[in-house]
Amino acid sequence: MLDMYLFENSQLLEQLQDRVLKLKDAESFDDDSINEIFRAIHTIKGSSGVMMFDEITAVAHKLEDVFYYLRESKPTNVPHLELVELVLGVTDFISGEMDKLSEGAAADGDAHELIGKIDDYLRKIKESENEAGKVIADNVYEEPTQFYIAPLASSFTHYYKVYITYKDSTEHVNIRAFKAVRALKDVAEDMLYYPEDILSGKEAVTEDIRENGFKILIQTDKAEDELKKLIGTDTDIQNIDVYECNYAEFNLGFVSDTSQILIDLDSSVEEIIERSGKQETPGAKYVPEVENIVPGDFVVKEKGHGKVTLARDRKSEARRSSYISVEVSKLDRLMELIDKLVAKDESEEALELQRAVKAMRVVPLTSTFQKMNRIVFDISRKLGKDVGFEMIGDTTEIDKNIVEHISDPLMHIVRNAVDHGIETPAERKMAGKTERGKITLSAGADSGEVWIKVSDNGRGLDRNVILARAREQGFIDDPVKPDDAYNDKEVFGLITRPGFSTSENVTEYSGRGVGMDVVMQNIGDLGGTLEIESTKGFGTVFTMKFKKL
Amino acid sequence: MRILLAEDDFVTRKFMMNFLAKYGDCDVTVDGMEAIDAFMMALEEDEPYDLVVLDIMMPVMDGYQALSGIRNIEKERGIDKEHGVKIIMATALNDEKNVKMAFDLGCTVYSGKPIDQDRFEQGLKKLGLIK
Repeated sequence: MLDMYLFENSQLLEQLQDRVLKLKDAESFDDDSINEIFRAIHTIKGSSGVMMFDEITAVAHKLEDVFYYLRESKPTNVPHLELVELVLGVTDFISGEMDKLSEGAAADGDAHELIGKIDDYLRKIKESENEAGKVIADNVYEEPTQFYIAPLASSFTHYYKVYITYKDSTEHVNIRAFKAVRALKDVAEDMLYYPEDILSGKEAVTEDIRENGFKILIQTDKAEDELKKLIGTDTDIQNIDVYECNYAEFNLGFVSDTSQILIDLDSSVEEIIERSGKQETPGAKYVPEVENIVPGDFVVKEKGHGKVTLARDRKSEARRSSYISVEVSKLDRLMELIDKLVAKDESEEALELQRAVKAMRVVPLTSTFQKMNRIVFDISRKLGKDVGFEMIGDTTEIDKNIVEHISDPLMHIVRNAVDHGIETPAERKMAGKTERGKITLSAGADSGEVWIKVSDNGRGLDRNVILARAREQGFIDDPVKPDDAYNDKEVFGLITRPGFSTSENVTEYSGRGVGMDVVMQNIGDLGGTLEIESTKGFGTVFTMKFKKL
Repeated sequence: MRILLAEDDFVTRKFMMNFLAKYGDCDVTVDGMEAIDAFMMALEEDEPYDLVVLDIMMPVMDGYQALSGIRNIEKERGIDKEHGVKIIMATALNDEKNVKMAFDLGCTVYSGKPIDQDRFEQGLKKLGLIK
């Protein structure tokens, strides 16, 4: 439930932020945008109210007040950029709180100050609008009548299902199973295992473990690997699988496992009939003693009491049917297995399989690019520069691992571009350029490669300055080799060397020593390369290239 | 305040009883059927409960059946929604589907287990059951 809340609201926040950033340079928000922003923030307020996240609810309500006023009385004197900043302030606050929640912490942020700011802002536009004397109804906050309290998430507790299978040659598998239980006992906060009576010595129990493996449910603060290590010293063990599960699954015990219907595809019908006849003789096979499921116990599975599904439900059902979300760890595991397979078997089918799985791991760069839009906005405002932002090819897909780690280096390059690349409006005017600078973020795929480019139309890199600095700081050992003998690639490559800096003064955003060398390192770690091209006076282009999987 | 708890699991029951005892007198039942009986009895004796806490997975009648049973009894007796008893579902089932069904059936608070005691108390405050 909390997952759903976080998922839906983070999408709404993203939409909200995009909309606002798209219109940051407009005179004001148009009616459509006001309505859309109002609706989004209203939805966030509603669900946060039900979840009892009071601060989020209060901030959302306050911002809703503003957009309610804009919608109802259509004031003319609305400081636009200030409003853009307030909305972004709100989305930042809520995102921050949601991050805490998703990590199992409490949403304990204080929105007091932010609410005060929004209040002041609303008062200001209301006052300047007062001459008409229009009276509009207040936007009253109605407390929801139903609440949801998320279960306590002790951030360190995990629930796991552990499956152990033993080699056929293993003797006394029940004793081996017991050893596994003992190994885990010390780290377990709670533990269940199946079959239960491993020490009874019943032949049927031993048979069951041999055939179906030994199963353990464990609640612990340890990681998967540690569990494996604790169990895994035994050479009789064929395989250990550890899957993380949630509390509800843990609580269900082994019910779902033991009620599983296994379909025997190998035996003939006659064989199956004969076997099932045999099984009826008492004691021939170990029959697990599972607690009976009481009628009504799983009423959860019924659609329930003749209720009609709401249109909203249907929509979310539809969405879920076309997408299923899979834990990344499961995909990683699949990847791992397929890599092993390919190592042994390089047939066309195996390679095809590998490609298909890799294709499942790619995601579009869109949200990463949108983050950069925000950064350009923030920094250019702080530095008093006028910078436009353009995205091209943001739907280009790239491996999830790269998307996750590309943000930092990309952010660094974008920051540098705004800070050092783009000139102040006055400087630009002097140079005969448009006062507004521009950062373009583009991506695309060529044969075998995915590239991401950050281009600016700023002052560009100065070869001579870089070379002079490099000589000063001892990056060039050869004092006689003339400047002309170094090509552009070599010269611009110098700025990615550890410790190299050309910036005269240190600003808040860049030039603090953590520089291009770290960016280079990050990109290298992801298996990518970085190229720099620049023309003095016209701008710089940073191109990252990654091998397509 | 008078509290009715329906919880079939012994350990959880003991824990919940201790926890709820802080806020009022707590009666205990072990399944949904008993909970409905207790709820009706209290109405008839004119000493209605202020709060009902229901587990969902329970024998005989589950928490959902108990919840809709109680709301139906209230409807029959002409008790309007505002004056109906506050019902908290306390359960390990945390699927969106489960929560929605409980809300549709008229539960007031849906609280996932393990119970977050601070927020549970915050919820009781919101409902005006404690100060």
